[in-house]
Amino acid sequence: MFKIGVSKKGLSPVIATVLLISLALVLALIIFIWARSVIKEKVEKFGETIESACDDVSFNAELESSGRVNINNLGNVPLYGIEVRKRGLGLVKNLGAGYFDNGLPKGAGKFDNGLPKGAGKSVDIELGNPSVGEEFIIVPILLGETDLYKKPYTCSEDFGKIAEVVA
Amino acid sequence: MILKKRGVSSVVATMLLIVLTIVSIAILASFTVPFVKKSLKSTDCFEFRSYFKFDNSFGYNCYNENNIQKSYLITLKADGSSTEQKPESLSLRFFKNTGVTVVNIKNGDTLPDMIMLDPSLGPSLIIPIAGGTYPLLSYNYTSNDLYNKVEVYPVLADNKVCDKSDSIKIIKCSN
Repeated sequence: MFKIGVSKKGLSPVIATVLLISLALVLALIIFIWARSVIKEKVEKFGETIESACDDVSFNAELESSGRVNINNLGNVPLYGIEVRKRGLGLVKNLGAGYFDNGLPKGAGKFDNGLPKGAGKSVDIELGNPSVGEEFIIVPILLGETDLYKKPYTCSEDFGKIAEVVA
Repeated sequence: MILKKRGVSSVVATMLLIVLTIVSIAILASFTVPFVKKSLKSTDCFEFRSYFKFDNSFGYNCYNENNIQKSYLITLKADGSSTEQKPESLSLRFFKNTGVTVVNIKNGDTLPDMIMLDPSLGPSLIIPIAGGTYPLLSYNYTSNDLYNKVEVYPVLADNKVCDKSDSIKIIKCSN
């Protein structure tokens, strides 16, 4: 009679399970890191996309020849700031770039805690010696929220308001 | 009969399996990574699918005629939501009944037939950038040909021309 010795050595079920779980976790991590870089960050306001919030913005704007811009918020959406644009010969020039410089939008007016409904506030923006009657476009900036932090969002110019310079 | 049970130890076998796996992954990755990169490259233009739009708020996108020569006044608006990525240049295609003329506009370029409509911007051409200093700009293109349609295409840094952003029919200016 033949006696065949069968080796029963191998990975224990515990180690095999741990290995499989580790493999699954590593794969999930790799996919998560990749997906985060591919999928665009979603900015929200009041639980909806910030573009929708721009639609609800309502405000009055008045420009003084000194470069002061007076804003009165009429809507329910707090304004985080404004961007001033000027219409020229077949062009629109951004006077407030909206880029961040030391945490503040460079050249753009910023209201510290947002401008709530019914509140009025003034900001000084370099308008370059505007003359009375000259027209500027005031574009609202809202403070949106991502999963991790708050982020300013400049609404489309379609939601802006044309304001004339007064004496 | 007693079979010899000698062979590779389990530790060495495990090591061999791990090495084999790593080598296999490396070989597979050398094929798949360039393939995936190439595939993702084709999505570069996705952000700019409607980045440039012809804007009619100034009443341009028309031509003035002076004898044979025509001046095409074209207004373009950068309407992208992303301010992080921007196209390197843009390509305008002027269509006439018998063919197409392609005009590529890049920041800083000077072209003999194409100037900025606002002379205060200087002789160099500028492209509109969403969130930039000039989100909307107008151009004056001079030609003897009569074009009836213009299309705009974003161009990326690697000179890849994306799909058409917008098109507009060109008519004679009313003034």
